[in-house]
Amino acid sequence: MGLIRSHVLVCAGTGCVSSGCKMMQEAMQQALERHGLSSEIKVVETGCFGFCKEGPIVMVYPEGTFYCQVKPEDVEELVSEHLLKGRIVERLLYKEPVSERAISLFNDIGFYQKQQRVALRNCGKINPESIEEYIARDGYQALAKAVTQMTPTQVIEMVSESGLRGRGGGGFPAGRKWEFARVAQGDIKYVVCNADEGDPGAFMDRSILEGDPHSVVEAMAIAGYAIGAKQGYVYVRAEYPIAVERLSIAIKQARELGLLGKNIFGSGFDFDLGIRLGAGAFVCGEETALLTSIEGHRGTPRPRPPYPAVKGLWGKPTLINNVETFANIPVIILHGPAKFKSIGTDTSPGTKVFALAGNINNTGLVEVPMGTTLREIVYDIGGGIPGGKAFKACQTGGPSGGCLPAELLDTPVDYDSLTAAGSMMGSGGLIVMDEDNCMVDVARFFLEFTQDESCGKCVPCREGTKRMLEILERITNGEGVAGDIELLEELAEVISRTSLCGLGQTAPNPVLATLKFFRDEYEAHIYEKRCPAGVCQALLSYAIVAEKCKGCGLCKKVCPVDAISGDLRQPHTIDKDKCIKCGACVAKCPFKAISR
Amino acid sequence: MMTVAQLNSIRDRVRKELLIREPHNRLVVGVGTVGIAAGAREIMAAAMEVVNTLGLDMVVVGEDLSVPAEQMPVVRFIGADGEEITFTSVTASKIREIVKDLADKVGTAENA
Repeated sequence: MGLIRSHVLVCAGTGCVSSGCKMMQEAMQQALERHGLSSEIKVVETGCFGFCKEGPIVMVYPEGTFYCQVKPEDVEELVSEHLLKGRIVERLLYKEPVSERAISLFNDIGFYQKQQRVALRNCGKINPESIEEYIARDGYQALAKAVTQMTPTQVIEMVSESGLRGRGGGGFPAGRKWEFARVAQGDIKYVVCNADEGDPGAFMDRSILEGDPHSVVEAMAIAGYAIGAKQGYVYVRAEYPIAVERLSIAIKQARELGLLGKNIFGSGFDFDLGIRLGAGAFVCGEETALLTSIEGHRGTPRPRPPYPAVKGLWGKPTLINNVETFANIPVIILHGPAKFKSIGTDTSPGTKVFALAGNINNTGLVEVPMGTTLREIVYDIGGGIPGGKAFKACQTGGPSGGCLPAELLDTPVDYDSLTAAGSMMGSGGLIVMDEDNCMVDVARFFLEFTQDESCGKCVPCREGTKRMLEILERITNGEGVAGDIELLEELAEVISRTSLCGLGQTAPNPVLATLKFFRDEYEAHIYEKRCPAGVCQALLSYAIVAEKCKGCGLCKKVCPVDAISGDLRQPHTIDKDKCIKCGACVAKCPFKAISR
Repeated sequence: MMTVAQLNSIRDRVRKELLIREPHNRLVVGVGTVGIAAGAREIMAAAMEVVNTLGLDMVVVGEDLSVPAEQMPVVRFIGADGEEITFTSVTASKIREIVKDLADKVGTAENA
């Protein structure tokens, strides 16, 4: 046929790559060849669609049919039925969890209906390795407008007027940061993108870099023009190989077209970008540690002030923003601050990207207008809690954040509301926990993480988090003593007040937040030697309730250490000396006859 | 050095190619088993050729349209405003005329 009549978009984000999209894509290409369709159907790799749980994802255009969990063995049917004969393959469509209704258009899927994509506007829509596809969606128009029609001051005024706040966690007004860097005295200035995403389970920045790297390149060039910098660096984790590769391709393509380099758009403005790889230390997400790491030193923070805008990279004024913040910039410049402010709330305009994880049906990446409630995210977008279990808490803000209980599910997601509720926005990790999660154990997990990642430079963080972790380990091991809660609170207060950087200052937050809302769980561990959620093994004692046991023998079969005995149709018993408290018997028992 | 005009020219050229992903007007060709046997693939090729030559804001889609076998090949126009027109017993030469007749209604991809 010769002319392209269909585009088959294959998600090639890290999640889908892990679930085998490359093999599926290869099978697709072969099937198209076999059916003589390769000259009329184009297979395009894209960035993340966000619905990672359903990957590998395939989208067929022009119909806009959304296929999920497509395996290499499904491809022949997809090609011969849909692409050749125009028949939708129903078994590969997304099915609503409750109604089992198959949905073919992605906009009709609950997961996407309440989302509004600004930072992720091109993810899943374009080939991230094609600068032309980015340009076709108004890419580099904002840079052209800024350098040919606006003064640096006007650019900064526009960013200020938009009300954009830093998406990396702090929520500092971006325009003010840009203005500080512009007025700072210095012959050389730098723009730095913080892509050192370190919160457990968070992958917002990775997805933007993988799915739309040019948006960050373009925004950094705009920032360079605004503050008077000629050089920028993206500091990205080496553990993000796909993001690094696509960003490298984007920079190379932008240079080739003259969108980076000398005299951009004939304006006399020069700007270039480099990539610096981080080795994965959490503390390098802290801006002063990040800059120290770019300079080639061990990534440790330093006291502020002076702030990087005044004295940053190699002692020069430096503007540092995170990936998602930058991804919003071209939209603001191109469409104006009023349009940006029309989304979200008065004090937190725009949208926020969240990595939805934990005990929730729809895990993945979501972007919602600020002001959307946690309930909407958890139930309408996330599809609720699996297995009909009860919602217990959701953790926002990563290891620096807090856990909010069910009573606060109607909290709107914006910087101020989350802080007022006792948590924080953070960079966008959102972990949902159900009734089976022990909040003391959750606090222990996060503290173990921050303690492990403490750079050791200041005593409060290095020693304080270690002592707090020891206390939490004692409590979860059933060795908690009266006074432990008070000691935790005292240590938390000192660490927050005296640590050198944000990592240390916020490290006690998971403990403080769980103490605020789930203090009774701490007390049950310490005073009653009981873990209400049945998680802390040292506090568990498995026993079979004779009245409930039917003697079916399923628990006996599943026990890995032969700790259960009993005759058929007779109540069984557990040998507590042999029992390793793995919980396999509880999961298997159909009569809920095993207590812990 | 790239000029703004050059940037716009790339944008306009590639935007036309990407219309497939955000179509406004569709020309649906019935490509089920009966449709293919009746020559739907040739009709699809002819339709695409004219759409491309005229640079129309319209995409050609293959679907299994259910109409009586004697009316095959079938083609259905679905406009951006939801308007539907069905053409039956279409031939390659007839589809060229149909697409040309629809040109005013759909406009060009350039102005999409």
